[in-house]
Amino acid sequence: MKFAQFVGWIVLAVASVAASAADGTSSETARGQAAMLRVDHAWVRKLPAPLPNGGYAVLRNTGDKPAMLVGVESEHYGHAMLHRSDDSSGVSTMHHVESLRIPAHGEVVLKPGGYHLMLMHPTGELAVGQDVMLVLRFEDGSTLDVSFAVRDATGAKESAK
Amino acid sequence: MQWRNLVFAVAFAVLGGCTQAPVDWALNDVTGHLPDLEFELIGDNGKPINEDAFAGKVVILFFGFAHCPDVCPLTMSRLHRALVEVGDAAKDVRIAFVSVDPKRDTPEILHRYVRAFDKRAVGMTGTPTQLRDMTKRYRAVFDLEEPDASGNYAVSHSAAIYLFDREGNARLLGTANAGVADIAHDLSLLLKEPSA
Repeated sequence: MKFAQFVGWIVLAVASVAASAADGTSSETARGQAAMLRVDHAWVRKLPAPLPNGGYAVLRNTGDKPAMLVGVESEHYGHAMLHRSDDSSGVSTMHHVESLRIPAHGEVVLKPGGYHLMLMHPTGELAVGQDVMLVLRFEDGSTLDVSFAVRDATGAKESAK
Repeated sequence: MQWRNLVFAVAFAVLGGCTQAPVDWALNDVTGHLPDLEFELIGDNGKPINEDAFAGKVVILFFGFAHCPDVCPLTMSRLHRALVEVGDAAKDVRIAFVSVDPKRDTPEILHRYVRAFDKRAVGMTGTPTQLRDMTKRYRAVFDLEEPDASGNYAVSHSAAIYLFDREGNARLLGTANAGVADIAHDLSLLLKEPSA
């Protein structure tokens, strides 16, 4: 039994290496939920390092099934996660969100004061006007590379939309 | 009864005639309901600072923290845009950003943070006691939340903005969602008031 499991493991590992080799190193050929996602107006608010930055975008799901965004990673940030701000009670709070559901043929807007990407521990000082690559990770393991434009602290626009 | 109502009506009419037309504030008028600008804190140059630093200026007071990448920048951006809308007169306005997170927000970080938004912004923080005193004075609240596995923590804080006139009187209170035009409108009116 144990040996069979081990063999199964190896087969899986080889298969996944083969798959990633076929895909290339990036997820340009995104699969699964990621393939259904269209991302627009993606930008990050640059604050002086080492302060965290906020990331914003419009996420559109063109698929027939809901997509679940479960994480974000980037080589430009030591740690990144999904957050939600709320000030409906008159007190501003910010919380980690495990996942964000983007309905089938629907959209979710990541915007200041609501859902946003919390981008912590920037690895260097970013320049306004440059692009940073963020990797959005979905529930089914699929990922999407998205280029985010770096804006200054005040943001060119208040809302991502 | 009716005669008494009439007397009141006349009294109001006379008073109304004697005083200036009421000012149409866009934010909430809190004149007389909140204490004057007064505090002992640490400035973003690392030195003690009190209300004297803002003598003769119209002040926008706001509590937050610099490791706040979303809501605080949203408010700071709105304040910046309001000052741009006010124009030249805004040189007499100061944005007083009080960080309630002195552990992480050193004066140096605070300075860079507030200046990223506006050159008329001043960052301040203080000892826990100083911050408790100040937030209590303005009936604001804040709370440091539990750190996560990496030691990062969020800070919940009152989202209000407070406007003080050139004399240091608390005059207006806005919510976190107060519009740029409304803030600019009230700032312009405060700036036009004669200074004693």
